[in-house]
Amino acid sequence: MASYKTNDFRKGLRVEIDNEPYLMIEMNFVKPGKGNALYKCKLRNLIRGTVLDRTYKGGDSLEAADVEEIDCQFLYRQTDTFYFMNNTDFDQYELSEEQVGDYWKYLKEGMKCHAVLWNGNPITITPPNHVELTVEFCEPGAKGDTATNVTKPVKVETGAEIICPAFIEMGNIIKVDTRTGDYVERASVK
Amino acid sequence: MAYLIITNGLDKGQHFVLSNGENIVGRDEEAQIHLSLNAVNRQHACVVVQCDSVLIQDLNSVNGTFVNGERLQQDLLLNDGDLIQIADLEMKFCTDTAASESHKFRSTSTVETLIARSGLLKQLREFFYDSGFDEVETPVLSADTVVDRYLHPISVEVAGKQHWLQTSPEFGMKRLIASGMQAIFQICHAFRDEERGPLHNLEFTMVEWYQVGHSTQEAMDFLGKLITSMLSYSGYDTISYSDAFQQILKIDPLKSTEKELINVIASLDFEPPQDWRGMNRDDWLDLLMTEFIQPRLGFEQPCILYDYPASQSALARLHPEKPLVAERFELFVQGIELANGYHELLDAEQLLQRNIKTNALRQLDDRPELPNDSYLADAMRHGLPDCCGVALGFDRLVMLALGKKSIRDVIPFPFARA
Repeated sequence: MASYKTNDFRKGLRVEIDNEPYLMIEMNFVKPGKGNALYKCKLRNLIRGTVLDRTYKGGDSLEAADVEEIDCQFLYRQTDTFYFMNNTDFDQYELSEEQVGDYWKYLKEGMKCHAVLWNGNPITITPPNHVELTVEFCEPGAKGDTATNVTKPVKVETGAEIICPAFIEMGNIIKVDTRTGDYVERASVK
Repeated sequence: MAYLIITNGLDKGQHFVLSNGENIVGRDEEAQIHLSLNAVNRQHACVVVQCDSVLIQDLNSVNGTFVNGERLQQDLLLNDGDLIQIADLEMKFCTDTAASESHKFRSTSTVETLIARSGLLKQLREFFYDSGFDEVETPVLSADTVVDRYLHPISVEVAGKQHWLQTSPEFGMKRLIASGMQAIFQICHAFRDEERGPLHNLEFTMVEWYQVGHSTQEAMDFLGKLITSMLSYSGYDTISYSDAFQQILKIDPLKSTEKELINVIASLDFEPPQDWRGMNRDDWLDLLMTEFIQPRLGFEQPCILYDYPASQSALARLHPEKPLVAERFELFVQGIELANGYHELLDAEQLLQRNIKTNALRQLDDRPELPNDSYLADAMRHGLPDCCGVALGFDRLVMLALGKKSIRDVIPFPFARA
C-alpha cells in the first residue's frame, strides 16, 4: 500500500488511520529553526464525520486511502436495503438503512447523488442539497392560515415527515434542504 | 479544477482554487476565500463544489452577493466565466485550468509590499554600513554543509561530486573571519528542504553577521538595537531559557528528566505525536518551546531568549561558567522566531565530535550522512578568532514590519511558483 511521508502532507490528502479512511482537512507546519518539524493535522473520518486532531513529527508517514468520489443514482429501496448505481461504470451498490442515515427521507427513484467510495465500496451517499418532494398527506390548514410561522407536519412521497407552513396542501410539491431537513419553499401547486 | 480570480482592484489576478465541498467567502480569517474588506461579512457567501457542479449561495450577507449583476436570491449553479461581485470586488469563476494557469506568472505579493520590502532591505544595509560592517558574498552552492539533525540541505551533483545548497552562509562567513575580516554581514538566499508553511519557504532570505571580539552580551545588545530600529520599538526584553520555562511552565528545562518533560506535556492541552521513536529529551523541550513558550514571547516588545541548553548548542561554544548551558540566544517578536545567535565554537575537535554525534542521529532518522570534515574545520584548526555570529530571517522581518500573516505575502514567488 502506498504511503505519504510528512513532506507529502497537505490539505485534501486521503489517508488511513486505524483501518478507517480520513480526509486531511487542515495541516499546520511548525518548526523551530534547529528542531524537528511538527505537522499539526485535523483529519475528518470519512465514514463517521468525526474530526481527529493528530500531530506528526518530520519523517513520520501515513498510509494512503483508496478513496474516490463519484456520481451515482438512487435506484430503489427494498425494505432495509437501498440500491444505487454508479453513473460511469454502472456498478451497483447496496447500502444499509444505517449507512444511508436520515437521507432516506429525500431519496426518490432516479435521483442523482454523490458517493464516496473506499476500496471500491460506498461509505457515504449524499443527495443534492435541495430536493423537490410531493406532499402525499397532510391535515388541511385552518382557513386564513397564510402566515409561514404556523407549521404542521406533512407526509411526502418517500414516506418521511417534513415540518411545513400550514398553507401547504396535499399534492403540492415542496422544496426541502437535505442538509438541515428544513422546508425551503413551495415549488408548485398541483 | 475550478477557480475564482479577482479581476479588479489592487489584488487583481489573485486566484483561489476551489476545493471539494464548501468554500466560505468572507472576512473571517478562517474563510477559504479570505477578503479583508469591511463591506464583506465574516461569512458572506459559500461556493460548493460537488463532482462537476459548482453552486454559489449567499449566507444572508448584509450587502449581498451578485452574479453577473443580479443579486442572489437563491442558490445558483455557476458557469465558466460567470462574474461574481461582492462589495467592490469582482471575481471571475473559471473552470478552465489554462486560464488560471496563465495567472501563475504573477507574484503572490502585491507591488506595494515588494516596494516596501525594497525599502527595508535598504534600511537594513544602511544599519550595517553605519555600524562599520563590510558586506560579503559567499557561495550558495558548496562542497561543505552544516551538519544538523533537523536541517535538510538540498544536494546538487556538480561534475560528479556532491555539493549542497547552503542552509545558511555560516561556513563561508566564518572562513572569511578566519582569513582576517573583522565585522561582516551578508543578505543571501538559503535553502532548507521540506520546510513550507505560513512562516517557511524552501528558499528564503537570510541576514547573517559576524563580529570579531564581541561577547554574547554585546552581540545581544547589537541584535536588540537592530530589531528596535527596524521595527520601531522603544526597547526589547531579555530572559534566560531557563527562566522562561520556570515562569510559563513551572519546570526547570536544564535539570528535568525526559520523563518529567513528557508528564508536563501530558498535563497540557496538546496532542503530542503518537510515534515516539527517535524522540529524545531535546525534542520534548523543542515541543514545549514551540507550543507553549514561543507563542507568549515578544508581544509587548521584542524578546531575546539566552542561555540555551548545552545539548542544543549547535555551533555555539559552551558557557565557561555554567556547565549546563551554551552561549546561544534567539530573538522572538510576536511569537515568531526571528533570529539565532552564537558565541561561536572555536574548537575544531569539538566540532568534529558534535558532527559525528549528529550524523549518528541522522542515520537513526533515515537521513543521509553529511560530511564531518569541511573547510570550516580547517579554518578552525588554523585558528578562528573569538567572535559572535547571528542569523535573522529577513522574510519574517518583512512580515512583522508590514503586518502580513504569511511568507507568501512578502516574497515574490513561493517555491510552488518558483
